[in-house]
Amino acid sequence: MLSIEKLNVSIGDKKILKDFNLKIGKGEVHAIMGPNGSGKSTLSYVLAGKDGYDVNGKIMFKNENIIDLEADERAQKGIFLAFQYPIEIPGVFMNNFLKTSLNAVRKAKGQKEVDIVEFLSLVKQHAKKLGIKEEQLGRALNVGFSGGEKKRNEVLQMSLLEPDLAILDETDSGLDIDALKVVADGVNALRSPNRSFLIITHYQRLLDYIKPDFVHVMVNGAIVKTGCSKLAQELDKIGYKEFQKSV
Amino acid sequence: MNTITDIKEVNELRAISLNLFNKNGYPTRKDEDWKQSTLNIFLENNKELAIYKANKETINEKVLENFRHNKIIIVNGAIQKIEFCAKDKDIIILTSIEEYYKNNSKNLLKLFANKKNQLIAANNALATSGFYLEIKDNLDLPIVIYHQFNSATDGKQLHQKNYISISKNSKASVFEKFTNDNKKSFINFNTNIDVQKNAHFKNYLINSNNFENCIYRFKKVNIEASGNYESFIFSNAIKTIRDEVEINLNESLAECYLYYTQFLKNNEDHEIKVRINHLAENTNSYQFSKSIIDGTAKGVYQGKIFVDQIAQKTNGYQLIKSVLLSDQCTFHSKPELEIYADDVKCSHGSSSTSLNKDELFYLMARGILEDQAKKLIVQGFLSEVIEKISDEQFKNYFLKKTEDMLS
Repeated sequence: MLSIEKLNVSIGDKKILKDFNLKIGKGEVHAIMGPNGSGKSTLSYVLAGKDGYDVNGKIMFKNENIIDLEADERAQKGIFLAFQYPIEIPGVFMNNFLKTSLNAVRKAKGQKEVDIVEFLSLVKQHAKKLGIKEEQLGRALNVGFSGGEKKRNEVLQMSLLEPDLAILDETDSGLDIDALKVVADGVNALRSPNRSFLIITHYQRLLDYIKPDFVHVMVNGAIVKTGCSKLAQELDKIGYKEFQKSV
Repeated sequence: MNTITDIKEVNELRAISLNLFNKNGYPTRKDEDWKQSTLNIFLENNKELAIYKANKETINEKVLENFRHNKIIIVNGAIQKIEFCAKDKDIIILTSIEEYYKNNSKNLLKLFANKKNQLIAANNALATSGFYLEIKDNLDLPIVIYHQFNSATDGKQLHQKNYISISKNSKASVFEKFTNDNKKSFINFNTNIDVQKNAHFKNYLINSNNFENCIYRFKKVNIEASGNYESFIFSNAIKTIRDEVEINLNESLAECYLYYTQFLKNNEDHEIKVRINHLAENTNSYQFSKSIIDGTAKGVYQGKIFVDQIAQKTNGYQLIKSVLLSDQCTFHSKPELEIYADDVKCSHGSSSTSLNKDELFYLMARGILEDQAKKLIVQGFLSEVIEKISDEQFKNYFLKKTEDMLS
């Protein structure tokens, strides 16, 4: 599904990712854990196609190097980034945004675009599962949403767009225990042999609910250790200090 | 020029105004109020424009709206057609302004005031066309005033003076739709508005299809106790326009809400100048303007809130935002507060930014093409103002206009 080879990312003189390598197979769930400032969020932005970075290396997605593609093209090909801090856009209403996004992705996939009736039925169905009130769908995008509402909204978008690769950037931050469970259930419902996940998190807590196949430790812009889900539990006990020393 | 009427007082007032205008001439950039104005460049280059004389003109039926409304069609300043619904026809009075002068000489001084402003002096001296509109009770349907200007005014100047009076306890919505099929004309438009006790007046206006003209529009609004004035101006596809309003909140609980959206491209130019005078206790004013500027276009917003020393418990609010889409476009904002009372809440804020890249990335990361994402952001940005419009029908009308404008 995804193969990142020798990815180097910098802003000005500051190197953020250094010869970064990662392979994610079809249907696999990978977790990346690491201390603040290790480059986790930058990795997620670069994979999603955000401008403003100097990027070198290869990002092979479904056997195509997507490094020169714009964010919209990557999303249309099936990459989805659940933002750590979902952006508030006043005046852009949820329903209009979701329908535009859904149809853009469907059109790119060669699927029939949905009309307003089909869309409303679909979005209500997904929203209900995530405990999102209908009233929220009539509001401006993320404006005035609580932290939990914003994160649920990210999962709602993910479930509507049905991506091949979902990158979750600290989706657990700012969530209380109940909301964490709802969001994790939403993500688990999307797990399939054809869909891969890259979960970025500081804490093992989220991984109690979404069991990863692999856990990677990222320090100073590179992966320094890879293991199974037990590694997350170890990290919870020993922290990142040992890994930071070795870099 | 022939601006002589058979009303002696009017002729005298016109003569005084003409002397004043001849003495001061057109405004220049040396005048503080006109520093950022492009309108005066047009006037400097077109000093000898002939004065348009009212005539029977053809109506452009294509621009008539298809929702139910009372129609007033004015072509080149003169009323050409009216059509009021049965319920409203007895509560609307509409005459030419000349007709009004004949029967209401005591109000003339008020209508010919504002002599400090050179263009108002010119209007006072030269305006022979215009209308008087009085609303005596709650209107069932909105009034749409179609201001049409055709090629008969090409290369000419046209001065129009209007007076709108909303009687006490009345409610009215008036939508003014300007369409210009003329070229190189100067339209000087002056409207006095009285909102009497507990009256509610909603005044919406659209500037569009105005590629080759220069328009100066001045409104003076006097609001009595518990009176409410709401205005919205939508500007897109224009040439050079200056919209100026002076509002007097004369009595307690008088309030005004002024909303503006601009979407200017190419070399379009729209100036907004607002002065709100809080002259009594417990008066409220609210200004909210959003502009999208592209190409080499220029937007200007000068807004002043004046609070008299007796106007305690005033609330005055002003928020001006603009987004600049190109390197060559400009937006000038000049918020001002002048406060002589001590128990007031007044605020002003102004920001000019480029398109928010994080917003753009968020939308694109959802598969939305860059152009479409930009449109969504622009539409959302302007819609925030339009959502404030209290008349649902017109709110939806302008939301649709914004959508159409971007598609």
